Amino acid sequence: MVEWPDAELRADEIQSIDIQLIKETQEGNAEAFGQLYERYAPAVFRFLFSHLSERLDAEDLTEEVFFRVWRNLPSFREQGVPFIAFLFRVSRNALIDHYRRNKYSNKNLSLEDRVIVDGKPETGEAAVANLERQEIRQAMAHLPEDYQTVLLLRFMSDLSPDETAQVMGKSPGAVRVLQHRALAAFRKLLDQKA
Amino acid sequence: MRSNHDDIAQALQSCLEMVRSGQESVSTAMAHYPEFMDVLKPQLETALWLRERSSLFAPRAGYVLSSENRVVTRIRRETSLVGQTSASHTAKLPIWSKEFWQRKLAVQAVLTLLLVVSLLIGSSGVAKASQQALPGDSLYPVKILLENVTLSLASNPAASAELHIRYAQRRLTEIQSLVAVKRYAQISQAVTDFTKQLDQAIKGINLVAAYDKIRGQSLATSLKLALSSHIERITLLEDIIPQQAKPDFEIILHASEGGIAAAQAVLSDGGSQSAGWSTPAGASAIPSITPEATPLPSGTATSTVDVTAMPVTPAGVISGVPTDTLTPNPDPSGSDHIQTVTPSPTSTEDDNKKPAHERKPTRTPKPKENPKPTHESKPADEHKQAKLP
Repeated sequence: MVEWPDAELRADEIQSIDIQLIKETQEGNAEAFGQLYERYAPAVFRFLFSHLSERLDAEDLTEEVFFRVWRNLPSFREQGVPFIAFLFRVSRNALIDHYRRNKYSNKNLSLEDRVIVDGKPETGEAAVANLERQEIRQAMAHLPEDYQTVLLLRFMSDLSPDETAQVMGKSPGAVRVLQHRALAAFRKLLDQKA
Repeated sequence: MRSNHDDIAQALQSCLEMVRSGQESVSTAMAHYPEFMDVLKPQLETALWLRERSSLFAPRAGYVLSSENRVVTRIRRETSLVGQTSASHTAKLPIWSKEFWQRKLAVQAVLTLLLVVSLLIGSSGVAKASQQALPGDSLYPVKILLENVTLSLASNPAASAELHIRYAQRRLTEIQSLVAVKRYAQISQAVTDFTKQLDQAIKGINLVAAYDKIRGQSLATSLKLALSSHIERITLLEDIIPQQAKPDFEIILHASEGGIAAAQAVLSDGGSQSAGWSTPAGASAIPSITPEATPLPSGTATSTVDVTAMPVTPAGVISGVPTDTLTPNPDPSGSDHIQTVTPSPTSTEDDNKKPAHERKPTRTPKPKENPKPTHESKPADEHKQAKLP
């Protein structure tokens, strides 16, 4: 699920490494938090960028999420919630705050979607990628929030069913059913569009 | 109806896991649930279609590394490392314990010395500012002096080893910063100090592991994680540095690999072989990197750099197992074919899709006598297109 040098690490081993890194961070080792960042930032970024049309917004928000996590580490308890669930809960909250701050509207096309990608003139490939991103976001926007969340956590951020359940505060069984319904609804939307 | 939904949801989840693990293709996974095939097929295709498009939302090249530096710098700015550590350690002990007073005295001694040093230097602001100094900067000697003062006051070998690990990390961070500002001439100094710190850290870990296995393993884990993380960055930087700095980078990489092997040895057997890593007095535990490189201390299990035990991402972990979808794709190299990842917790799929400098380095492993393939690539014609119908 996450990037880590040891490809064969099990979920419990990852959790124990997370706990060790969190402990070191709490003791003042900023580099330990850097390792957590490196490991989880891509998944958080994908989750945020799936919601936001501006890449720069997603980048800023990713950093903000991790900084919030760092600030809240003293309140983080090892028992119960794994770090990844804690991280994505903070991500969801940060996203909500971002919407509130910016009164975000899905109807607005992003600057990136219109003209520029990473400061360079848009190439054909980038244009296709932008269109695809836009299509996915637009289709997602028609789904209930829970459906969006389960699809993005499971298939964009690549969380496991258990992790998704912990982030959403639901049972694994409820997440399974939600995933099934969300996929059916999303497929229907794509079929209608086609 | 409700139970039917639950059954389908369960079947869908099961199929997703089978396909993702590479055990089954979409069609063979669905064959386990013939009664739900009509419902499962479009949903599985949609799930795989979405997963394939997750790369569209991946961070741009270089973002993770640069933003990590920003986040870490911001955190460093907001916290005082030494003060926080000392305070948290002292707070955990009961006030009536002897250790509390010993630590308190040590903390007071550190603070007093730091104050004296700071006053001698001119102001406490100088000491603080020195923390950002790089080799060659006028304040860098102050930074090293403060580190040495802190080290000399470490209350036990574990605390000392912890500090050596931290300072070794610091040297590696400084080296990366030197590359960023193109001050290659100062890299050698940082490399020399890095190897010294690493050597001391390894010796300290082995010493601790000899009487406190758990603490020793905890320190070994810290060292292993720290080195693994930096190896990746150093490997990436190695491609962009000028020729003059390459030997220094080779030293870092070899030393780091040696450090990881030593840490792994402590983790494997709790340090029972730890003495094997320790070098005679005066000799460095870090292997020389000259063309006639001094081999790692031989004859001991701990001294061998076991590449298989190193925390690097093995090359080719992407499973070649294709996923059945509707349209056959005669060109598996095309962007539309699906690469199914293994169920390992690492995002091997992501690594593959990410730009090269964001991937974990795939350092060439030593050949094994009987190498086992990490994956079995299916024939190209088995790859199918991931388009929705």
